[in-house]
Amino acid sequence: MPSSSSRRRRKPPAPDPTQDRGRRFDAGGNATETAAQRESAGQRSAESTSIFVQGNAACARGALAAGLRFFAGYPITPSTEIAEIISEELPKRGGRFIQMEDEIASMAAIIGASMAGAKSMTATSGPGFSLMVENIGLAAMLEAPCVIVNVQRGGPSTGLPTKTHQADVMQARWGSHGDYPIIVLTAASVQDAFDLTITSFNLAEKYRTPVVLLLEEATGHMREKIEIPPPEAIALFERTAPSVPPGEYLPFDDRFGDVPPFAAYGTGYRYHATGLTHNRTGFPTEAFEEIDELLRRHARKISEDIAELRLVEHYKMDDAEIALVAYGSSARAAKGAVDLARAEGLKLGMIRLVILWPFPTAVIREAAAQAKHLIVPELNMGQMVREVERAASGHARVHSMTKVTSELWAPHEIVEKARALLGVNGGA
Amino acid sequence: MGPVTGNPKQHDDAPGLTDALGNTADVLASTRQYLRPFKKLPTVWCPGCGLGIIQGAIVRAVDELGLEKDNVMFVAGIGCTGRMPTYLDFNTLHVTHGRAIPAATGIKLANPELTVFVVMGDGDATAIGGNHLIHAARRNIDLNAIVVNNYIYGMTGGQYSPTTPVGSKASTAPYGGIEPPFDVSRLVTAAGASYVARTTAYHATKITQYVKEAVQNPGFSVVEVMSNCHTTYGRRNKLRNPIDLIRWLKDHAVEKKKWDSTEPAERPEGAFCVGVLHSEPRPDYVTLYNQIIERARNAEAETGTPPAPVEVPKPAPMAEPVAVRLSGSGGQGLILAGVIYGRAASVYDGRFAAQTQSYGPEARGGASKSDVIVHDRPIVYPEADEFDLMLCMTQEACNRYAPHLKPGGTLLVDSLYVTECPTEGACALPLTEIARNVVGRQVTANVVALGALSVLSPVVSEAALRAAVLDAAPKGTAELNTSAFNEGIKAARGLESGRRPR
Ligand code: SF4
Repeated sequence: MPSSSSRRRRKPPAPDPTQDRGRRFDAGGNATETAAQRESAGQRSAESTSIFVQGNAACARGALAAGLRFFAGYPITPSTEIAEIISEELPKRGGRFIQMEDEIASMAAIIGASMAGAKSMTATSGPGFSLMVENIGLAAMLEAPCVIVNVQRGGPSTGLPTKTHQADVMQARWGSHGDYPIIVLTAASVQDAFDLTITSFNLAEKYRTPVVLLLEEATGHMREKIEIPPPEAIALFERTAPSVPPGEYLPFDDRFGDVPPFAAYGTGYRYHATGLTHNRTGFPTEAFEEIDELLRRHARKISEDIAELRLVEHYKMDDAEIALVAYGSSARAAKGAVDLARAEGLKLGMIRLVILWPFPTAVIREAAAQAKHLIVPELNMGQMVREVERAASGHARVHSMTKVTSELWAPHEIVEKARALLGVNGGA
Repeated sequence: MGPVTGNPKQHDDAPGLTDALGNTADVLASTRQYLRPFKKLPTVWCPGCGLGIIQGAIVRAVDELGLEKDNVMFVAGIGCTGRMPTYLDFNTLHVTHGRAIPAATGIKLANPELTVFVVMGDGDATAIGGNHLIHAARRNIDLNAIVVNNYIYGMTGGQYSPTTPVGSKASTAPYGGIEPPFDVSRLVTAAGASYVARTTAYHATKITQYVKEAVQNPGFSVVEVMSNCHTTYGRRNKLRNPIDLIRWLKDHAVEKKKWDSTEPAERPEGAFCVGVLHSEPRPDYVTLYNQIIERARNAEAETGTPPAPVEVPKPAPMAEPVAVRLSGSGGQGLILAGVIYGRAASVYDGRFAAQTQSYGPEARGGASKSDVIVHDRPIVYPEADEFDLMLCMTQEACNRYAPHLKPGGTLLVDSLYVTECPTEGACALPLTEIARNVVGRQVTANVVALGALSVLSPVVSEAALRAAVLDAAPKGTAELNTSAFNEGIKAARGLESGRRPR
């Protein structure tokens, strides 16, 4: 039987309120109640739609639900399904899609569209992301809200197009040259891919910043059921418009806080914006104090001190002696490991990093004060573990678990590590 | 193209001035009103640089077209030319080197009402941005590209560019250049630009005329302006005086008519053709895309209302995750079967399900597999080493995967293809033959298999699978697929009891 799209509105089956179906995030990215809690509270009405889709499809649908108006991209495995779905769905909503000549152009195009007022996005994988980093720096400098999805595959270079890795987590933070802040989120499930795409748009709009959403081949290509709430139940944040008339508008005005109000090109607010270091008027500057002012405002704007940028999930951490610090697909295995270990009486807990950057230092510092050991399982040679070590600053022992075979972490592998640390043998 | 009023503006504040070239005060006034009103001048440009003339000529075109400042967008990249938007009182954006065209593409697609100019030097447009230039031409995006060609990278001090003539000296070609240059206008013509004109910084009124025509052309237009960089190009090539270099441009510009009627030997060395070199209007990208929007919306309207919800009884609790593998070869519809299975388990039975499949080269070889993990709890590990339920529709898949069947697990094979089964107690059914001969369509073998699996395994209920099969059935094939599903059930029920799992 050839394939056809299948989607159906139906009443979800009676929920089991004990099941955590993943956290959701409100407009500002705050973790709110779980989907299961919402279901049990009767908020998941017959209006929500259940679909069984790939992570990439969930991401595309999340972008459409977030009000995407423009997508520019270049085909690359394992992210291509996102562009394919959006090329079909976006024109139905009056938005525009374009397949550019490369990822450099794609990134430049979404910046241009964003500056003209459109919610904009691109999607790629490692090799394409490497080409995008040039203009991610430009997006940071122009404070152009946009979302860049990187469905991670094995690297370096062409690497493993169809295999999963988590090795782009540092590049997402530091890929472009210079000192610039950026928000990076990462998804562990297909539902996450939908929810966090919306959160990414909300954070991009709220903070006038590029936001990178990291998926993995494993979650991008895996299918799971997701619940799509009705549009009215999805909170969306729109960039703040200027409150002053055009004559008084300054594109990088800091009088209203660290995030300057945004005027789209073509709305009567004529101004200059440049990738050169500029002052609040938008024009280039080389004045020492203006350079300092700009870069420090950027840093303040997206700082780890902002409470709502500490997007993490705590799982059975209350009495945990060993804390697993995990993200993405590894966080699924970590959660399974916590349950396996607890069945043996080992007090494990997990902190899932939903946000990687700015790194939630305070959260890890707290965990390090409580737990003796922090275990960081990653599908790379040990990248985020350095940040965990920095945050723990000696208060807990930090252990790296690395894997680069392109296989996923299995829960029992993590439990074995915990047993070894606690000097416990065997187990179930 | 943005709104054009067609009424040239009147300037009653014209002071009594005449500039160095003898232009009237009126011209100066028409230029001045488009310059930034606060302290952006003087420009960074060297005295005598052609960029000032070109900038003036462009804004006079805007003025004569009567474009509203708010509807005009200037985008530029890096280089001396790239600084032009800084001085102009329009919407202006200065991006990274070479990327002005893709940034402008995004702007135009997000707001087609804007008249978008892209000003670039030869390095910006044809070296680092060369790929973007030809693709914008091919797409016929309605941008007005002004390529200021002065044969050199000026801002960085005179390195050779893709347009530096052979033999010319540059800071990185101290012995003279050996790379043949691009002919920018011919390049973009070949790439599909719908309007292409070339002139020089000497011919200021021609610049204005061609820019106006470019704006009026609904598509990708290029105006190539040959200009003087006496500071870095001229100095190294015996033309250090701006007047000499501008005169050289004038003397080497050959009108298209004359160009076409002369032999190369009759023209001065280094001569180039000027005039409107190509004009072939065709629908621009946004116009064509708007038709796509129309089509997509109509298609959406036709799909109608979704079918009524299907209720499925709540299944029995599941203590452990169950691993299912559907395998065979590409073309047997096993990926889709896995998707249907996962959908049935999750959307209809209300459990959790994670479906994965082989990708890439692996998927293009003979074997194809689709795995589904089903559980009552969230699935922490979407893979399995051993499987509770397996379907093998080829001998190769059976050889490869059947050893991974759990002890006591259920194996269903297609008896047409699988003749030797390494595992005891497999259920063999002629799935493909049933599809071909009983149902009447061989492609439904995957659905026949799903029907059989609903009998052989309690993982997913028959009602849930049936509903998910119908969801996936293309329009008009519900009956066919229902028949395939039923035949699968019938065949499985007919198996001798000894060959059916308990
Ligand atoms: S370096 Fe050359 S192109 Fe640049 S401003 Fe000076 S003369 Fe003009």
